[in-house]
Amino acid sequence: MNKILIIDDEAGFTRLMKLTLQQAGGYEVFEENDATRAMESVRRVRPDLILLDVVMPKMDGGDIAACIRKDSALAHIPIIFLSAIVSEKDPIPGGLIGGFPFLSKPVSLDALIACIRENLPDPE
Amino acid sequence: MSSPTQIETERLFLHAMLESSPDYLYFKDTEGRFLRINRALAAYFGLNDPAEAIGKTDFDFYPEAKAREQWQDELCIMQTGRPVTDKLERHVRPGGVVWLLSSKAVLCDREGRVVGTFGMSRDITGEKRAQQALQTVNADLLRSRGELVQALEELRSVQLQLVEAEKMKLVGRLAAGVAHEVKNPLAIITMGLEYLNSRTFEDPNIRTILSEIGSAVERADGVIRELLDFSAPKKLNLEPQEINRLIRHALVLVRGELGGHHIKLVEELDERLPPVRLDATKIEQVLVNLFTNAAYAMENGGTLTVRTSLRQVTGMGENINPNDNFRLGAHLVAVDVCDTGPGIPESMLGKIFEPFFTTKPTGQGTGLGLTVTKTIIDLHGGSIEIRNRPEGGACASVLFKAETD
Ligand SMILES: Nc1ncnc2c1ncn2[C@@H]1O[C@H](COP(=O)(O)OP(=O)(O)OP(=O)(O)O)[C@@H](O)[C@H]1O
Ligand SMILES: [Mg+2]
Repeated sequence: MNKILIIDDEAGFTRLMKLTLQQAGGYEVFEENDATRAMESVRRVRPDLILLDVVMPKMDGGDIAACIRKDSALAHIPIIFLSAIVSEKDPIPGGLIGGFPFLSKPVSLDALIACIRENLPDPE
Repeated sequence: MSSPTQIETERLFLHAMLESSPDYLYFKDTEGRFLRINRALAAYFGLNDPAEAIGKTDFDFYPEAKAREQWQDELCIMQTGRPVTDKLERHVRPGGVVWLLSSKAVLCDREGRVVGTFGMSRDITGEKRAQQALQTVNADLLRSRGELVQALEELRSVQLQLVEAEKMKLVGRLAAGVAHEVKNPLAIITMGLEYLNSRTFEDPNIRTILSEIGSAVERADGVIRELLDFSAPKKLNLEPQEINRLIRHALVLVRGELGGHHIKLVEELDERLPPVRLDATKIEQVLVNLFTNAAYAMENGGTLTVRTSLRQVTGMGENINPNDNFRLGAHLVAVDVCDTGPGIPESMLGKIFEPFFTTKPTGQGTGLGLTVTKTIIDLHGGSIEIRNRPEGGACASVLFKAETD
């Protein structure tokens, strides 16, 4: 079962994401609501994919992504950004922020699962 | 007849006046020869003794033209008996220009026969200089006042632009803030709905309720998106475009509004324009905004004139000044959109580009038309100016750098 870590300061959002994703996609979902503890969680959970909020207090998603990419043990983990303050109509080429795929909040389950499937490493 | 003592007293008065007056005094015979001059005039002529002047004429002391002019005056005085008073005379002396205020009159003997003239001049060079200095100071003051007024104007317009830019930044920050605070709860609701949607319920109303909630969330999200789109820095899809083609296309889009208001359309499109690097969709939006504003201003009919032309930045006149956008000598493609409506009240001209400024009734306009228009033109490195035409109506002038430069 693929492990997904959601890093977002909105506890209500992560809780519901967890319920929905577990039920719909059969993923094992972990939550982290404190951005400053994000790296700890990543090392502990070793997820197959990370859903990362952009705007969070104390540390933003961009900083966390940079830390992950710098750590050779974690650098391979795919990251999908979730953001409330970027509109999809504003064309960021290929829906990427700094090379990362991104989804705009609120996101529909279909779009979320499609994006997760696309970015999960091939099983083998 | 005067008594000897009386004569003696008169002589004394006369003597005192002649010898001590700082003004220049003289008596001349009918030939213009000096009979008597006072000390002050002798000093003015550069003589040690007033007696040295006797028998001489103005021709001995003044340049010929001046002397002739004074002789003419004297002839006139002697013929008519009428005096010359307070005549301002300019004399060029070795020490520089001297200004005299002179009065002259006819000199008669006891029988009333004309025997010559006499006169009196006051040196007012000092006053004159002060006056001139005052005039220059005044002129300088006027000039610096003009410069100050102009500087103030420029400052004011820079300030307005800054205020506008600041406002847009603020709107951007506000939009981002609102988006963050509203879209996150919306995201939670959406996820909740997704979860519930995957469940089955006995009560069929629950499906309907969930779908209602879903569309309400979508609506709220749509508003926030629009706000973000409006305030986000836009990326342009720039390609060489014929502006006339975009104008014709935009005119088709507003045909309904023009026709509905019985507006006559005059196209004066210069067909030899060079191409301009533009985002066609965005510029069509700009044109549609300008056309609809004009149409709205001419509710009871009028004439919409759309003109294109090629201009060059000359630095003077023609309303094209080199600014940050346009360098001197640059070729510009100009689009003028003029209407015959009521124009824009002077007090509002500074506000029309402000976000949410509108004079339309509530619900009819957002007041974002010109704000978006200006943002798009700025992104293209162009400029827009809207002013009232002297013959009535408003005119929007848009300038873009031509592809040739
Ligand atoms: N051609 C014009 N003649 C007279 N007034 C004008 C003209 N163009 C603009 N204005 C004035 O400037 C205001 C702002 O124009 P703007 O296009 O930004 O917003 P709007 O037309 O009121 O609303 P919207 O474009 O959002 O429907 C107008 O309400 C009007 O008062
Ligand atoms: Mg408008």
